[in-house]
Amino acid sequence: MALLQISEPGKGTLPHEHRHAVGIDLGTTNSLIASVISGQATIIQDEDNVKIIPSIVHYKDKELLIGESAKKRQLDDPKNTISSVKRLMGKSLSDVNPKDFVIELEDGNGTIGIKTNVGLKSPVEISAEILRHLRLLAEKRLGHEIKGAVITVPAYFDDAQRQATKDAAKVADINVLRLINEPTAAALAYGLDKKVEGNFVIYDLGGGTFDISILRLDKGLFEVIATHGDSSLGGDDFDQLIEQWIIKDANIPMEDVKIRQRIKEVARKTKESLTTKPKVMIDELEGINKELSKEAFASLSAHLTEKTISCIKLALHDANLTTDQITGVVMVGGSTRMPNIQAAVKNFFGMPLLNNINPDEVVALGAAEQANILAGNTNHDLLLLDVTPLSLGIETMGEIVERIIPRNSTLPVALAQEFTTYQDGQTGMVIHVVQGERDLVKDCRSLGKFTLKGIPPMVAGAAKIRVTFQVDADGLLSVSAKELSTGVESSIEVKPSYGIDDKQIKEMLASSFSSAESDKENRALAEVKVEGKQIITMIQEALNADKALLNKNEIDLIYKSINELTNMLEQEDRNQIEQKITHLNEVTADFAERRMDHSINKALAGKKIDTLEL
Amino acid sequence: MTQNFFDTFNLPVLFNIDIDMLNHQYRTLQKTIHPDRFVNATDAEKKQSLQKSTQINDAYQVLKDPIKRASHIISLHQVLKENTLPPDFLMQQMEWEEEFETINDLEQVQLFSDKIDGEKKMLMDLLAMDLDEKKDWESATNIIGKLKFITNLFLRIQQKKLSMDNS
Repeated sequence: MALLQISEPGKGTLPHEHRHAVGIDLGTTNSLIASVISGQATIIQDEDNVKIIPSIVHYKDKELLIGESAKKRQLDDPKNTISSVKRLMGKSLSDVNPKDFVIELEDGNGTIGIKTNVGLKSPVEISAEILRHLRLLAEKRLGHEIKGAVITVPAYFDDAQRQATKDAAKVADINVLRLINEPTAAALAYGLDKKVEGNFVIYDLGGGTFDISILRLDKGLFEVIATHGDSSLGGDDFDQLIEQWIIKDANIPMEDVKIRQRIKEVARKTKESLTTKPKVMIDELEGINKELSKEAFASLSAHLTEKTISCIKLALHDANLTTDQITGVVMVGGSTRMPNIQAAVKNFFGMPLLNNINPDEVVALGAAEQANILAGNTNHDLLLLDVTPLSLGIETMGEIVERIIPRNSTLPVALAQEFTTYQDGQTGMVIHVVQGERDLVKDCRSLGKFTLKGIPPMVAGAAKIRVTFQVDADGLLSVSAKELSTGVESSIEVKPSYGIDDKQIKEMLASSFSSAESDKENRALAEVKVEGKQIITMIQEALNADKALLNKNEIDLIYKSINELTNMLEQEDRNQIEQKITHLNEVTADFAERRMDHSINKALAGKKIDTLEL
Repeated sequence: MTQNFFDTFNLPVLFNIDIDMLNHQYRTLQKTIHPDRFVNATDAEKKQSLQKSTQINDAYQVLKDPIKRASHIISLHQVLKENTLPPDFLMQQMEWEEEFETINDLEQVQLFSDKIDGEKKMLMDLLAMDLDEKKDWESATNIIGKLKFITNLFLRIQQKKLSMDNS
């Protein structure tokens, strides 16, 4: 079945022979990049030996600052200094309350546009600047080009948010090996070296998001069995409570963004101080002199703490587990430093918490481990099986959602649904895909309206269109369609109506601050040549191993295609090389299937030996 | 033709399945063909891996769940029919529904939950006999209909318990 990919048009991930792979924690507040160096996952430090890079970008005329240097400009130029952009990823203007932001937001053709001195910037572009900064930093420190990255996202991110993250990586010129969930990454960091088994709860409270995940670790398999969470609950909300508490009864001009920024800063510092001190005096703001105690803060934020405990209960229910069946509780995210949070979680589970890896670093470290495994640099036979965080559905009559893929389904997952036409000669139809748990379309997140075109004209009800919804290992949706009575599939187009398309990504790449056009073309040509050489090597290896699965005609056909590609590689025509690569992939498709079936049979046949080993 | 999911895992067609063996075979297969194993492969292989891995997840979901597994076994022998529930079971349904509405403390909910769970286990045993020994597809289809209702009721009881716990 030819899949019409909507999630990632023009996909062609570059295979690589040398494997410098990194893990990236692209956080709401801070970002980190890590790599496995000499067998050990290590956070990569910048030139000032700083590991934690604030997720802040500052735009001013020709100047672009990222990280700590951008953070310093937050007070004197808040409108051009963008922080917490992760909260805007994959969202439209109607999803957020612009009043919550110091920066100015605009409608950016379905997505959000952020007004800056250098024009309208999208959250994808801003995230891409942070990612590019991290990539360059790692390349400089490691002395090698980064060939692939695992990027973490909150487990609760929906399809649009995941897609936006992957788009940002593309704009930053990063080859994404896999998107993985932050809590899962944390579990990897804890589980790999310890060889633990059992059910683990990952409590992840970050700057802007809260996730609860339950994982089963068993014989080299990490299986996510349930996730729950709140995509808009995090440390920032605790800051806001302190902020409101400070402002309350004080006479502060709210329209002054600089003062608001300053109060925000004081609130955050107060929260941080309360992790070690019993009380904090707030007197550095004019006209304010107040004291906040640990206990007062705990009761001020009790409803937020309770909200996270309710999420744990729901996740346990979904996993069909009780607290006494839990082997360990892993604490992740800087916000879990708050003593009231630690106490509440410890009390709920009645056991000591796993918190010996720095909660700011644990996600990036786990992502680096996974990147190392995916790049093939290690013999770990560990496999991660993740789940869909939210149900996928389609709109039916009366704006009711029909659920097609339930949440907590193990990835990859697909479901086929048959549709028919209701008018004579109808050649198109629209399928509205939504994500969420509610029954009404308006209460769910709209992922897009996909237009099927090119249905052969027939009488009403005669056409049978099978639409396949596939969610891949990254948790991203693609839709393919086929008309069954005539077998027409290639002419049916599937177009997303939401998010950004391939053309826009290319434009962003072109307008980005780095490298000139000619460099880009040269690099693209070089990359496609490497890809061509590698695919030839891989297919020759496959032929050496499993030639017996093919007949002479088939072998000849493959060699012919290899020769054509080899000849083309000596020329400088990128398009032609790409075409020959595509051709080689096509003529080896059957071979790939037979090899896959062959290894499945081998795996099943080897079961007795396996059982003995266990 | 319905694809035989038991074949996917090289297991005999039985309702009383060896769950450990199913889990083991599932893991072995995913470790072999999951897309994570083909990150550096050709596009043709990636596509294959995605498809096979998806199929194996699908087959596993069906075999893991007793009701889906039972329906699958029947579908291997005959076209699945809509089941009509016998009148006495409809009466029973109404009684249970009434009881579900009236129970209002944790202890009562727990007692009711245990009763329904017992009912479920009994039907499961009957189902196993119908499918694995008597090969009585008609009777099995009826039991599946009852079990669907009971499973749903059991889920609602658990939710009620959870919301009582929370308040």
